[in-house]
Amino acid sequence: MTDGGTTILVVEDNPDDRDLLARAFRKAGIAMPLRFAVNGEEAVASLEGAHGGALGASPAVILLDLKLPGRSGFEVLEWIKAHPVLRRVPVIILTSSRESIDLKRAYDLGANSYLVKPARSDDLLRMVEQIHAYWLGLNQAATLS
Amino acid sequence: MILSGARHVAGSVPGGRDQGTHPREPSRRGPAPGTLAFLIAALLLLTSAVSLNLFLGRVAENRAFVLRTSSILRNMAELNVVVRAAETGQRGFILTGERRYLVPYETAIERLWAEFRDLESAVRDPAQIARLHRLRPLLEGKLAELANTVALREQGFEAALAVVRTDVGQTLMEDIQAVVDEFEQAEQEIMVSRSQLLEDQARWAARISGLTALLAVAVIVVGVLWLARQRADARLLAAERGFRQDLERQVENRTEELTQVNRELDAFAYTISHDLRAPLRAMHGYADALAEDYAPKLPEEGRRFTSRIMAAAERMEALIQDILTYSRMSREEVRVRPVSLEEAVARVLAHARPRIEETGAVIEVGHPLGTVAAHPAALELVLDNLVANAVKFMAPGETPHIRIRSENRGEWVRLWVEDNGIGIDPSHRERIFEPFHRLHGVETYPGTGIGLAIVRRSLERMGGRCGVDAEAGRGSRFWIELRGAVGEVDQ
Repeated sequence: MTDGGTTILVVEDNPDDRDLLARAFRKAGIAMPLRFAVNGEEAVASLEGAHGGALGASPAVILLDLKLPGRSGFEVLEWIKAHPVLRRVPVIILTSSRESIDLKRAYDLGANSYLVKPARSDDLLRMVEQIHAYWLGLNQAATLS
Repeated sequence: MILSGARHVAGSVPGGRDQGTHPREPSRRGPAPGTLAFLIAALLLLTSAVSLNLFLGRVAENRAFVLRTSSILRNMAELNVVVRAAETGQRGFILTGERRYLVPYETAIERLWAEFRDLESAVRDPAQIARLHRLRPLLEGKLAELANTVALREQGFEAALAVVRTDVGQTLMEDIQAVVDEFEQAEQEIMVSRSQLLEDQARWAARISGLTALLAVAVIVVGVLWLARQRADARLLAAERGFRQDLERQVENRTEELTQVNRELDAFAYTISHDLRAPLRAMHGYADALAEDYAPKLPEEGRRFTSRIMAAAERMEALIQDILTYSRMSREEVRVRPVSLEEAVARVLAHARPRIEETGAVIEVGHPLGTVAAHPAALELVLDNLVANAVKFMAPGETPHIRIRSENRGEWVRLWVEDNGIGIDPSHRERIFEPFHRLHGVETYPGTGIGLAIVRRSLERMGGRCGVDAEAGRGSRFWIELRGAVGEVDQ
């Protein structure tokens, strides 16, 4: 019996957002390594490789932006939730859209959480801490075997 | 905003074409008098045709009567001749004793009763019938006298002459002549009066047929006019239908255009929410990072610049947020259901607690507040904006004192949010509900100028309204009105 994932996968095309998110994780003192994918294709490739290769590289949680170049966040979400094993990985949508159409579609496709990117860095820090506390602490993850 | 402009276009489409319905009026009213006139004319024509028929029937009847009367007269004259022929035959035989004189006598006797029977069957007038009854015994008497004298002449001339000399035959003959004259005169009179009647009736029949002809012409004229009118109406209707279809097409096209505009606006809002906010987040995030990580190394002025960048980014974030809220409130579906004002106010006050505590504001809620038909999220957005304004627009050094209460106004529930703030000049009372309308500088009272526009739009979408009672320097009294709701408040 293998445990859940050991990394956090961040699917984000904006380098500033990646940078600030990494800084927030650093400041929050979260030890779990971050892996980045800059578009949908890379995210899918990364997940497939992780699943096919060492299970240890599987993500414990996926932070997914909706607006991505090429394959959109929704398509990535759909792919993950159709995958026989990876669909058990919690997917947290991290976007700047509050449009109800996006919210509905994300939950309909099986998103586990929906967060709106905060503008202030202290808000971002608080959010990262809470993700850590809840999704990587309190929440009971399913095994990925 | 762009969207409200588009809405005005949508509003003007049906309004601008209102006159399209007016041409219908005359065409609807039109056929009634035409049909009525046509019906009346047809009825008159029918009446006169029927009465003409009756008159003609009467005329034919009278004509038959007059013909019968003349035949009766002829019959009576014939009878008279026959009686005289019989007497002439008898006299000839008495004088000469020659039997050949008896031939006309015998022929006359045969014909006499035939003629009399004809008369009896033809005569209808009671007085004339009575005369015939009087005539019958006289004729019988006469025939008996003639037969008697003829029989006596067989024996001898003298015996027959003696009977003749008694004047019995002569008297009978005179009586017969008197009755016949009387009968003929009466029959003549009947004939004259009937002829008079016949003439009158014929005159009337002629008049009525003239009138009928006139009416027929009138009916034809009215009918032709009516048909022309119908055809004109049909043309009008066809034109109207065409116009309506045209209008519907126009409305469809316009709706299509508006839908397109709306889609573009959606895309625009989406772009704002993503693309515009991303660099803003970066600006804000890096300024924050700069302040947090390098503050000790920055000179005083550098720290000030960093904080100004953060403040500007925050304002822009708030502005984008408010524009998106306003646009979402215009676009998204708003369904009302019963909502408890108590609970909505409680949630909003809980949310505003940091600001309330910061300013030391005193909030007074007049229970109970009641239940209204609203969309919970939209209602809370409205209340949040009103409470935030009440706390914000204070003269420096004053402690906000806010009173929230409600009153029933018929089917409406009016909720008041009253403060002791700086108030609003009455001349701005309406304009403050327009988007981006600010009365104060950003430095004095920060804000985007969209809050009250969101309040008004939200209430419009929930079927409610809002307003303000205010005087400069004496506090503001904002009110919102929503329809009161009875029934279950579902959570």
